[in-house]
Amino acid sequence: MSDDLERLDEHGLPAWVGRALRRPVAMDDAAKARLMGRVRAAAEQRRPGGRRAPAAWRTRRGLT
Amino acid sequence: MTTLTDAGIVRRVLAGDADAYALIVDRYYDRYARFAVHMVGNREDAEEALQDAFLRAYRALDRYEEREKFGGWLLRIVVNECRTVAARRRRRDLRFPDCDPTIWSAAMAAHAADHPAELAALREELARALGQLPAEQREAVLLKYTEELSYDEIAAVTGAGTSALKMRVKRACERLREILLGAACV
Repeated sequence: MSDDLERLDEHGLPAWVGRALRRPVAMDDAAKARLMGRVRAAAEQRRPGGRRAPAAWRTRRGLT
Repeated sequence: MTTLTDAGIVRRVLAGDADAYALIVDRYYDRYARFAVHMVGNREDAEEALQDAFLRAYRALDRYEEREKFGGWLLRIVVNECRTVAARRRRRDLRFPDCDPTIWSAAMAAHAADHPAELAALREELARALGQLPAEQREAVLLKYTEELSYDEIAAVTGAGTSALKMRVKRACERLREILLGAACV
C-alpha cells in the first residue's frame, strides 16, 4: 500500500491521488428527497416540453 | 423500471411521470457528487450545485436529444452549475487555506496509506491543493480523474478544445505534484 505514495501515474501524480479522487462520495438521502420535492413542484407548475396532460388527468376533469 | 435506459426514463418523464426522474437521480446524483465536491471544495456548495443542476436538467429534458449520451448531457449541466457556485463562492470567500507541507511530510514518514488518520489528512491536503488551481485546470483534471473521460469527451462537456484541455491537465498535474510532493507551497 505504501508503494502508492511513491508510484507515479501517467500524469506524474502519486497513484493515491487518482484513487482519492475516484473515491465514491455519497450524498444523503434527504438531499435527494428534497430534490424530488422540487421536481414534483416544478411538474405541478409546468409540464416538461409543454406537453398535454396525461389522459388520466383529462378523464378525471371530465374532458374526455 | 430499473432496466430502462436513460433515454427510456426521459421519455417516461416527458410523458408526465415526474416520479420517474428519481431513477435519474439514483443513477447520477452520487456519481456526479464526486466531481462537484472536489470542484467547489465542500459538500454544502456541492449539494447546492447538484440540486440546481438536476432541477435545471429536469426542466430542460424536452431539449435533450437522444443521439447524445444522457450522462454527458447531464454532466455538462453539472459542470456549469459548479462554475456558477464556485464563482459565487470566490466573491464571498476569496481565501483558500494554505496547504501545510508538514502534514504531507509526516504522512509520508508514517507510511500514511496504512494509517486512516494520516490518509484522511492526505485527502484534506489534496482538497487544499485542488483549491489552489485555477478553476479551468481544476475542472479539467477532475473530469479526467473522477469521470475518467477522454479528452474528446471532456471537450464535449466543457466546450474547450482538446489541445487546451491537455495543456490544462498537464499544468494542473504539475502544480499538484509540486504542492503534494512538498517542493513548494503558496
